[in-house]
Amino acid sequence: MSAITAERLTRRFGELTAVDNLTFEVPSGGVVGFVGPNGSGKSTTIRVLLGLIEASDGVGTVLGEPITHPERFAHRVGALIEAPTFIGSLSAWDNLRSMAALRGISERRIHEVLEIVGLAGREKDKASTFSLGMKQRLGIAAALLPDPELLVLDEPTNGLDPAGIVEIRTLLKSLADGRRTVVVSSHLMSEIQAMADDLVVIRFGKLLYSGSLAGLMEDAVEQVIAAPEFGTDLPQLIGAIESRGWAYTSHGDLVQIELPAASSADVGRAANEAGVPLRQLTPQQDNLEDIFLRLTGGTDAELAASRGEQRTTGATS
Amino acid sequence: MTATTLTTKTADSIASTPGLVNTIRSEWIRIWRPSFRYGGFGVLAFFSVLISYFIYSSLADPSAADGPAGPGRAPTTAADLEQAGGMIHALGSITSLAGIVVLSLWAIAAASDYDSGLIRVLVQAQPSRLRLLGGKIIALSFFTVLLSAATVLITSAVARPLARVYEVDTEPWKTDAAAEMASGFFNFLIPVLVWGLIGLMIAVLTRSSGTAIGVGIGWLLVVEGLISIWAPDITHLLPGGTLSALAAGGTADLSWASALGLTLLYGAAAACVSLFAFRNRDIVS
Repeated sequence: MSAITAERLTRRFGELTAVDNLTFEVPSGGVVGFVGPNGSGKSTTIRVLLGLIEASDGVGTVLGEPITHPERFAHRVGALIEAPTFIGSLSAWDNLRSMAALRGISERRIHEVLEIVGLAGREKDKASTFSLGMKQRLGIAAALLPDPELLVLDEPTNGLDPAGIVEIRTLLKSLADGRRTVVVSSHLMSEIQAMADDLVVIRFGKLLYSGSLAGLMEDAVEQVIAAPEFGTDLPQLIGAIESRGWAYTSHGDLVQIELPAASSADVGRAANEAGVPLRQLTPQQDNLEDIFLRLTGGTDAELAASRGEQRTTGATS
Repeated sequence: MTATTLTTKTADSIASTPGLVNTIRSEWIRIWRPSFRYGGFGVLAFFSVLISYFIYSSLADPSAADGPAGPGRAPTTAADLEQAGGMIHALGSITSLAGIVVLSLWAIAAASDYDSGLIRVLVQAQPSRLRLLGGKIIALSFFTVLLSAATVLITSAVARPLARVYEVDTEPWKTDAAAEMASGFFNFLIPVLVWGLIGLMIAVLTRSSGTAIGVGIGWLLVVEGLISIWAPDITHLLPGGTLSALAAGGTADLSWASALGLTLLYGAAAACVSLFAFRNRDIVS
């Protein structure tokens, strides 16, 4: 059974279509990255799926139940939507106690979730005294209270320093197992690449990709970058590359050879045979961000500008 | 325990649909926080003592008697105090200020969920919005009952030493004291509860505690005042006038029974508007 399904899911706010005809499926178990730049409609999609706002069109299910009846799955889902929210003047314990009471969960579970997120011993401290990282962990603890089958975390690493990001990433990986699905939304591609098994990629509310991370990374362009120690050796280096029939492009004294990253030793040998000492020999593979930019065909600013132009054109025509 | 273990015991303890009692318990934990507790009880205790003092001191200086009297109320005389129930006579004048305090507390309780974003977590955990807001109304009502009881007790407690100082005869206070206290408590509680419901309604509609408090106080202190200039005949039917009339045990313009009926009508309308708006509007904050 899929953890989440969406079919033609759409949400409009006046003339703005924040979620545009989304169709995707999130498999059960593991970490699923919900990726897109800021303002791409990730949070709106999550809110629609969790019943906080109504879809304008389309259907969806969460844990097999229709999203129009969130009461059927709410007790099996834990969520941290955008920033963690607590009453600062209450202790971590009382904040969690309030959430546990709402869900009808015993206080014993509060000890367990505090242990899981590494806040045991800090439960008497007021939430207002917590650092951002601790607040994020407290938010995850609140989401874990119902021991959810589906954990939805919206931008859980927002505002964290690198150490905090690693901490949360490790925690999330440990939370995902065969029975639990962890959906992590983020605009940080590197973060998602480091922890996700599957991906849903959206931009401007439209689906760009849905499937396994490995499947998407198959499209990654691999290349070897080489540069001669002396610029005068560039023709000999290019000659050696051409003689082996490798495709390449050159930029200044840098040569990008379209070969698997693992073939850098072959390039090194070819240069050596041609008597060209190298200053640089670097195997390179596209990361998720590179693939994402290739999928979308431009940077955020470029696309936002083109979208703005389209709207202006539409409004004036 | 490991993070990946799904605890069967915990799963068993989860009700598939959290009930109204769970919602009330959850809300109560948040309401009973120090700022709310000390703020609510402290402010009302302060007003109780201050207004009682003004009332008794104005008996000695009749020129100052207009101060604490509420809308539609005549200045207090010694004869008013020297009656059964005189020890809680000040409640009638405290009600408007208590109403503002309670309106603010209810507005903060409702709107701060939006301000802080807590509403997202609450609605995700309890998708039945009627149950969620119903639980909040019940918890806040219970808090208001405690606040009102404390106000009645403080008002009656400070009345005796003030009466001694300002030479008010307290002998009639011994007649039906319990019944008078109960009646005074009822006439104080109902208007204050309805002020709370009005605060909740404005907070749900505006989703901002600051705006809600501003609108509520602005209506009571400014708008009703302006309406009383333009259309004095209907002033006693407006929320402020009606609730004050009930707190005073009825006025020449509005009998106690009519004031009670109209007050309950205002309360029911505020609750219905709140529930309807909360149920049907998206959670976008």
